[in-house]
Amino acid sequence: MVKTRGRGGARFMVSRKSQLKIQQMAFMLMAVFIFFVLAGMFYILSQSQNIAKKANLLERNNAIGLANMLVDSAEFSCGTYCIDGDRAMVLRKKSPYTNGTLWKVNSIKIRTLSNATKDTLCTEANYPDCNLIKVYDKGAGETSVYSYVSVCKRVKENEYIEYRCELGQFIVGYEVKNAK
Amino acid sequence: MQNKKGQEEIIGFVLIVLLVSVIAVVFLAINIRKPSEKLPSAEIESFLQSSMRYSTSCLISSERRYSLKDVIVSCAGNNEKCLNNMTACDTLNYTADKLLREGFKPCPDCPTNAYRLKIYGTNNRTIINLREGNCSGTITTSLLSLPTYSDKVKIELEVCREI
Repeated sequence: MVKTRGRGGARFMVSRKSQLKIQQMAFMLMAVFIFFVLAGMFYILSQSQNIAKKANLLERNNAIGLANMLVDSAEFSCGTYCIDGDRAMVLRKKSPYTNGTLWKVNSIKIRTLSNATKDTLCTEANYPDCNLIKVYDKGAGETSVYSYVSVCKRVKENEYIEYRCELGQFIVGYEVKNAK
Repeated sequence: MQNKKGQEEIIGFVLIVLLVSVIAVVFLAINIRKPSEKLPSAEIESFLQSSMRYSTSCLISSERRYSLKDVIVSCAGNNEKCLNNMTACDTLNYTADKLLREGFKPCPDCPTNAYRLKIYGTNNRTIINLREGNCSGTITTSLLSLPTYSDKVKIELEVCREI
């Protein structure tokens, strides 16, 4: 405690006291502010993980949109989400479909889903007893994305020609450019 | 006296910090327990749409084979009997299960670890409810509406996968 004399001394005491009060308040406000900043950062961190998940799913949905656009091409399509397997087999031999200049993707394949562990590539000899139609494949390194489709073929059942549809995948391979 | 006052203020501040921390922890606990959001997926939608054309094993006559869509409509309505003596609902159960397994190949260590298919009519009448696996990931979903003669059938598919 500072010794004072008279009125000048009392004013000095009050001034020192108020400065101390202001200092205390400043430190307290700073501490509260830092605390809320840390809490806010923690909250943003937990929310940003959810955003990353949604971004990944959006990217995948966009890529599937590309596959869906090709599924609707008049060359393949037999309706919404429908691929005519017979037409796809014919396209394999026709330019410009086989050299990949018409569609700006690396490869187009159509796989019929089954319990089989191994794919059987479709040729003129084994069609329709096969499950993978390779429309074309440039053979370059790529990322692929698929959309589910109905793969329909004409098959002979007893005495009837039946238009039979199975569940399949329309697989599009495209090149991913690495960011520099 | 000044020391005691300063100590009182510090205690007050610590109490406020503790109170706010407790509220934050409770809020976090509620947030974590909230069921994970179901995200719409173009892939699941394409699966549902494509499956509708699938040619089932149900021959309703020697010339007519039912698609999965026809079987769902029949099961929701009069549950017709196929030439192989299976009913439409039996065919639906078998075919839906087969397509889901072939389409998604769920397993605990695979990217897709669970799915749930629910087909229901008006008033939430359940036509079929198929479920496989335990979900440990993000749920992606799609909903398809099928108008029938007397009912509106809804097909809801949820697939759980690691994203």
